[in-house]
Amino acid sequence: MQVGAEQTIASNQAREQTYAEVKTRAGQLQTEINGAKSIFDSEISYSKALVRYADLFPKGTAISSMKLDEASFGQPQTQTVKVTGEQATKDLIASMKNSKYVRDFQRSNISVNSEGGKYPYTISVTFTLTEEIAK
Amino acid sequence: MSREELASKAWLNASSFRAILGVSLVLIIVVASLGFTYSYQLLEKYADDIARKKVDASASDKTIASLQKVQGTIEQNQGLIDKIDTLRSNDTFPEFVIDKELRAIAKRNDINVSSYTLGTSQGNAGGSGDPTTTQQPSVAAPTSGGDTVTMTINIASIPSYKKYLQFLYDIEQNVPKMRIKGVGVNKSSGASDDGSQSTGQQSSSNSDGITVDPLIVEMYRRGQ
Repeated sequence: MQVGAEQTIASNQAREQTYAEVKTRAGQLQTEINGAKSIFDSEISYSKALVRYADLFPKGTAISSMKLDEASFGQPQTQTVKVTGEQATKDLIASMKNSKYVRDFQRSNISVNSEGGKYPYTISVTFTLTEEIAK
Repeated sequence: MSREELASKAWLNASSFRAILGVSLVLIIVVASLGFTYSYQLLEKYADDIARKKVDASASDKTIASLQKVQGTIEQNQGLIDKIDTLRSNDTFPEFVIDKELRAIAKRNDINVSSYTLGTSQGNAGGSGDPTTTQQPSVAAPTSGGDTVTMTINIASIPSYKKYLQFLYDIEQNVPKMRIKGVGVNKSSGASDDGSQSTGQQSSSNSDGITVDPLIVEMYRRGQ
């Protein structure tokens, strides 16, 4: 019985040597997969984020600039929004409150733009973008 | 000499024989016990060895089976493994790769680029500062070491916002993988609120009345 077990061990050890390359490749593959996971986990899709961000602002609202970077997600940011009137303001607030990409929404008082134009009012909104907006 | 005299003078009489026999029996029992114990221990050790070797043999079988399975998995997923391998640039000089790839993507989307700078263009990139994109790039910091190489793209003009989004999308989908560090979109100084531009303005904006900040793009590379 012992001889049988010893033969099995010796035979398997010899076979294991032939799998040395497989073991090495498996180790390398593990490293590669971890690296790929890290790349995809940290991926931010700005092309999606810009479209979704713009969708937060309904008809009758306008922004003069938007900037997004890694720090824009998960912490409060303030955006100045020009609006055409009351309905557009209500739509804006509803859009922000109902969006799954926005949390902790707050608004400031409305001010009147001195230059008037198509968007005579300005409202400043503060909100936090979730990371899902860029996924 | 009588029998009694002979018996009394003899070395081995009945009582001493009994005593010797008794001692001998005790010795035999002791030696037999010791021998039995020793043999038992030897057998026990042998049994342990056999059990351990059986376990080792079984583990060895499992290792081989596991290695065969791993080999099978690797062979089955070779295509996927090859794709994973392409996520990072393997080139000795990935700087040329990122330059070539970004120029191709910009050309494909009709993005008018004023300059490509390897490294982080200090002062005007990353969505900060002056949004004007027509200025010449400032001195470039070295490309980041480690597992990425960086390029800053100063964009002179974009044909449309839609094209700009496609440009960003193409960068994000590129292989080797690239990562955009941030984006900035601004209303052109010459554009009116309804999106149209006033006449006579020399601007980098497009027909949608917007300008875009320089882009910092990182490309993943294999570690040196």
